[in-house]
Amino acid sequence: MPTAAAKVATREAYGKALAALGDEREDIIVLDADLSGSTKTAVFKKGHPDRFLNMGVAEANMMGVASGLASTGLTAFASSFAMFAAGKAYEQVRQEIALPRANVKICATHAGLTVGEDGASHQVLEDIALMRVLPNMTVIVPADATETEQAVRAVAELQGPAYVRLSRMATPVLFDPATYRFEIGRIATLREGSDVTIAATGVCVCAALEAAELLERDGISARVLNVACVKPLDVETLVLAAKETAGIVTVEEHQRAAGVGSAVAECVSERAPCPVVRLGVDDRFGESGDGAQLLEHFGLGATHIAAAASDLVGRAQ
Amino acid sequence: MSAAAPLPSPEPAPDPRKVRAPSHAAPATPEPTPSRKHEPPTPTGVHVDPAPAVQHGLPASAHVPSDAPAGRLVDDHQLAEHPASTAFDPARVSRPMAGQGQGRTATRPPPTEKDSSRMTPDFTELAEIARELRIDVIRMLNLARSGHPGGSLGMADVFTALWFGGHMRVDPKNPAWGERDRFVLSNGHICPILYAILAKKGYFPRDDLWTLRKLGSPLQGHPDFHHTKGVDCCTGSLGNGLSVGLGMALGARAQGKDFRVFAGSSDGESEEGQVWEMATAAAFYEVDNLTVLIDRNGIQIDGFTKDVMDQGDLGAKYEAFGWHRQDVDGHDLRALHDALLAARAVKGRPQVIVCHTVLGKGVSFMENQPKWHGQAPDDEQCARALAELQAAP
Repeated sequence: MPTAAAKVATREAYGKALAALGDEREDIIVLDADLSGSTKTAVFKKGHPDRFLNMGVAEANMMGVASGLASTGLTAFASSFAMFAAGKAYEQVRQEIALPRANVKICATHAGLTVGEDGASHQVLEDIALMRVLPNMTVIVPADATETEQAVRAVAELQGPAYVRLSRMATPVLFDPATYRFEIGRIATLREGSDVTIAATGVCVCAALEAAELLERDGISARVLNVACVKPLDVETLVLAAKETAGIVTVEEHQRAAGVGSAVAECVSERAPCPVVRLGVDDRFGESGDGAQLLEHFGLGATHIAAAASDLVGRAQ
Repeated sequence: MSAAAPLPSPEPAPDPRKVRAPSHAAPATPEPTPSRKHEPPTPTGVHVDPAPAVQHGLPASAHVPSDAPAGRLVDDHQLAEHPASTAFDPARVSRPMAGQGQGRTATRPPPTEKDSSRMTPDFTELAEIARELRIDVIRMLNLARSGHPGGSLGMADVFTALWFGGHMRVDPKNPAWGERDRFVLSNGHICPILYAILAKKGYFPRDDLWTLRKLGSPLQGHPDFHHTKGVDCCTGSLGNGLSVGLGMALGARAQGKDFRVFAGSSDGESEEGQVWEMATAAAFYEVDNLTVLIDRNGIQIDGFTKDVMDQGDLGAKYEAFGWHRQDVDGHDLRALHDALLAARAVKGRPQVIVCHTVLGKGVSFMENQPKWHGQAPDDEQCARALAELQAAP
């Protein structure tokens, strides 16, 4: 379980997976915008310098170039910090990647609060919202290194655009590569439970699992879902949770508005209405600090999640 | 259409129910294995040889055979016939060490014997084509009731020289052919001229032109390859398309292909910062299979560029970014042809051709009038415009 595991940032796993993919496939071409050391595309560059394009501090141009490369038959991976990939280059992502269904994989690191010390300007809390509203865009937020490695392979196989949200902070390796299977369009049930559901995303999955243990001590059986694939959303698993438990607590290091919580609420409200409590950042910007402390500070720690779930169960009774 | 031929009678407005549903395969999927079967019907020499140095920086050996015969227009198929490796060659992707730029990109194979003399286009015929295209543009926009005539008319000669002067290696019967030259209309709002060209090249029936901008039409208000055969890039939001064109050019290099990328742009578009991100990167990567054609008509939606946002010497700006630069009269077909040849001969640098044009060229009441940037002619204006275009020498 989480606490004893080794810690690896998903961006580290991305760099490693991308380099391995480059060994296997000659059609993989990688672009970065002067952040290759941080996004870990430098690992790919080391093994495949001839298939790496540093586009400089120019994210808008990078997205267009990635689209053009993809149109000639290549599979393009474009990386930067999530703030700049999803935010600064949003229009280019919409016009030149989503609209033409370009075979471009936007692998954006340093997402969310856990960027940490760099503070609000770099802590994008809106990217899931921005990306999931784009037609044709697949949106993935891996929870750990194992899942990242599998997700990178999955998007490489996918024909069309994808956004993969990655983290700077080292987090526990939750899943055993021998047994865990990431699938696009599938929500993994990490823990069965009958009283309440916790649907967590990205680095918050670890705290969700801890929260389930805390709840168990209080006699509450919590189901834990890993919403790694935000789009397409696994409707079946969510509707099942809505029907079989008292409600769903969602957890993400993202704005409460329009993020994963909203996606879950949209899904169940139309099919199997149930209470949905969305934990996230409540209409404000982040601030500097240690990543783990920031998660606690913004109410995304295991105790917060457990309290919200417990409260939800109490409401239902 | 010859100069003496009557105008076609105006087509009735399209029946929306009969507008064809888009049926074209989206090229977002991997391109099919390039066919090698594009045999020219008449294998006249079409390989583009190095051209005279118009500005500077051309190889000393660059020249056009002085005895190149005037003749028929070059057929695109004739440009298609040569070997090109499709094997991925990583060595072609990354930026070379200093001094290794020359000839680093995939170059076209040396001319075969039959390619040794390039056919010079018949400029009278080209002028006639440009006139036909302008007539189509006016009629399309009149039927559409909205759209952008000014730039479409203004760039008619430039794009005629490009598309009908033998510079584009394409196969209208196989729009997704992997070895084709790409065309990106980054100032996508002047797509009426592109659509008129594509129809004339045979990508789709000419009658489709009269459905422009209507629900269910294959001809969208701005270029979208999901809908329109022959369109290589979704454009419309200014500044974006040129980056995609650069990516295409780099993609050719990465895969050892020798296709070229031509991109249309404009002075108004050059106000977008992304254009200069693109310009920086294209020069840095020494991309020489990218040619940008700028519509320098001095007009943007809100008025004259000198009043809205002065652009200064656009060519000099590109030159400062490391590009090969030419300034050309955008209505001189021979000069445009020569400029395109000269651009092709440039090694190790991207090329810009600043085409000095008159917005609305060919229709007196539209010429150089900012209001005709983005306003469709009504029926009376359409009739007057067509009469002028028909009567033009």
